[in-house]
Amino acid sequence: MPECWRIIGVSGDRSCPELQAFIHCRNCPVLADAARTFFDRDAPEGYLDSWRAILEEPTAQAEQADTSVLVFRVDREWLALPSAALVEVTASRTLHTVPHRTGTALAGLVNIRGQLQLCVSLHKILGLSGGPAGGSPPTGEPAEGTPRLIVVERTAPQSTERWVLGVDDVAGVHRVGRGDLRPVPSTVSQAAARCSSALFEWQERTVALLDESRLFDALRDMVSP
Amino acid sequence: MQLLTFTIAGEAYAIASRRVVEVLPLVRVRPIPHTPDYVRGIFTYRGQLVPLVDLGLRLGTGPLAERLSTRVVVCEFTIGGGEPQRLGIVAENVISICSSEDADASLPSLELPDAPFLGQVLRIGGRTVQVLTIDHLLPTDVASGLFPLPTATHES
Repeated sequence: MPECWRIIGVSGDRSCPELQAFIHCRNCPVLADAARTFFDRDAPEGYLDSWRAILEEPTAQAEQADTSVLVFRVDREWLALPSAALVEVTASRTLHTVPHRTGTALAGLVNIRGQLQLCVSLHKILGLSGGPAGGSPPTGEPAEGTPRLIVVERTAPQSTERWVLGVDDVAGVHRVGRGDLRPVPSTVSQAAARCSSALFEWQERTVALLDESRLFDALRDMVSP
Repeated sequence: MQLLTFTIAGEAYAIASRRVVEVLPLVRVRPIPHTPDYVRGIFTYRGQLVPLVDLGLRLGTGPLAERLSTRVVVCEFTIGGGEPQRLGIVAENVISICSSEDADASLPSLELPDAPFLGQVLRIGGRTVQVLTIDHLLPTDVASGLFPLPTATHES
């Protein structure tokens, strides 16, 4: 039956017995066969030439043209780190504070897969307000994002540095085109500008891309006595 | 072996999907004079010049029409175990892949002197599919003419 979906199918009176099995015409092989023949017609004028023009373009070098970053939030600032430095993102958990070290950027020690790692408050390092995002989230406040811990690593020839950063929310891994990166304006506060390498637009927000090596250096300076 | 199936003049054919680089819409080609009629010409594929073979003419069933559903399958073509070259073939209804392990019945590779590209014949899912061997699609003289060896001129 030609165009049966218009007569007895979902666009018609739904009397087709096959609808019991397929529920909707889009699941039915009759419609699939009809759809297949839809493009079985002569190519319009200029179609072949338009594809010649498209195929003459070399393929975009996607690997070089963009970079993968993890976007997260600290206080009100949206920040990003190259995902190459990322080890894992994990749920916020109990922080064990270190005596005589309270009030510094070192928020405490945290158990990550059986190993105690240094957990650092990005708020202090970047000069932002708010506390370290460790521990249990405060109750009663509106659930605006989930505090999480980001484990980052820098592999040096001699040793491997691993840090845990407490953040207020993680928005996931996104790709940023290299062309979309803008330089950091000189008006940005010193502490944040020292660690940021570029800014980019993401979902109508301006995100600061942190330079991982400068961040690691800043972490070291703040924590070591 | 995964196979990419298509039709030529209503009959089902297949090539090994491992050799397929990309399936493209039909594209305008520049004809090459003094080539066999099944060599449609040459087109630019991602900055590379690639010859295009009309399978309808190669199989002797007449040229394939320029339809919206007609496709160019860019595949890897090797001559005598050399570096893989890009070859485009024109086919119709390039819509499905199947596995040769699912075949209910099969005929071993045909060995016809005039058609060395005809491989196994498989019965898959109620269809009889003729497998084509890409490397034997062009006669040796046409293949070496379309893909001249660059080393011969560089070293002399």
